[in-house]
Amino acid sequence: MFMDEKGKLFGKVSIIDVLVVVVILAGIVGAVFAFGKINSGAVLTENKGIVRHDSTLDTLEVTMRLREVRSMTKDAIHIGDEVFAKDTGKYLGTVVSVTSEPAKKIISGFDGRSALATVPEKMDVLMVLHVDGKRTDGGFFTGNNIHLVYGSEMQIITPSIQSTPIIEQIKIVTEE
Amino acid sequence: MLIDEKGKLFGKINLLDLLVILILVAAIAFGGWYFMRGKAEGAGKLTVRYVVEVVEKDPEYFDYIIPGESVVDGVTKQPMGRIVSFETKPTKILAQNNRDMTLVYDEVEGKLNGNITIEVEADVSYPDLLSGNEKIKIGKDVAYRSESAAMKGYIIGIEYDEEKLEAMR
Repeated sequence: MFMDEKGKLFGKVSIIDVLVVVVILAGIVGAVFAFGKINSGAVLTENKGIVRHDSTLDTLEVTMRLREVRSMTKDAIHIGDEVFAKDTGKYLGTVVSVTSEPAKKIISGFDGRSALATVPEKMDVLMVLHVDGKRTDGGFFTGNNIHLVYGSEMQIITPSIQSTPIIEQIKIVTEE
Repeated sequence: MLIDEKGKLFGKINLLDLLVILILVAAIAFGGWYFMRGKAEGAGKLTVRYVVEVVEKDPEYFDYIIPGESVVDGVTKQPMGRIVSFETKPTKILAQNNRDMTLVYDEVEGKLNGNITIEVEADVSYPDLLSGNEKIKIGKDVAYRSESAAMKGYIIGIEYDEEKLEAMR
């Protein structure tokens, strides 16, 4: 008989025991599934605009300004370098252009004058990245849901440097 | 018989207990694999020389920077390598020339900046070079100590065999 008078399946295994095992297995499967969804970016654990994992992504061109750095910093950034967010380690984008211009600082004199003075031996480095992302209702987001905000500072690392540049421009280069 | 009338495998082990144990072992094995895989990817050792800049030091400070001494992170105590060499130059600070409204560097009498070169066998875990858990990056502010001196400054240069690093990636 399928279940005996003692509630055992085929007279061997208690139905309650079987149900407990099924619940545990269902919980594990559910956790793996949910973890996969979070990992792929389809679901965020925070309340922000979402780039769903099945969205087609555009190529964003993001210009970042590293302020008042020395030449050794610029020399350590190369086209093709991958850039990551320092706090999460998430991939941000790839460097496509590195240029520099003299660093400048506003100074004021005792006589009430002010001037935009060049900072000697320092430069601003303009680093342009290509980033897979999208503009959503909540703003620009990368494919793994890093929020890109004009004027914000972002701690980044590359294979050689760490820095906190300011996002100076975000534009869509190619649309999918 | 495989399962007896009491639900025990070979009459010895309760079937439910066995299933729970198997599930727990699988979960522990998966967790171990998941958290260890980051260390395994791109693993390898690379000889790295990096330069820490310290500023505005009295000349006597550099009597305590001794090549060969080991260096550790002052906070985490992670080993960061050994001092290879150092060089000094006069400290210059940025000052404002009010006459023509420009910024100029002015030498500070009696103070020196130093570039301390440290060598370490770093772990390679792309995109990072690591000594223990500490990343070695240009621009990183550091607080290290050797056997004789404390050094607080910034990493301003890194050197390594690029071909070897590329082969390890």
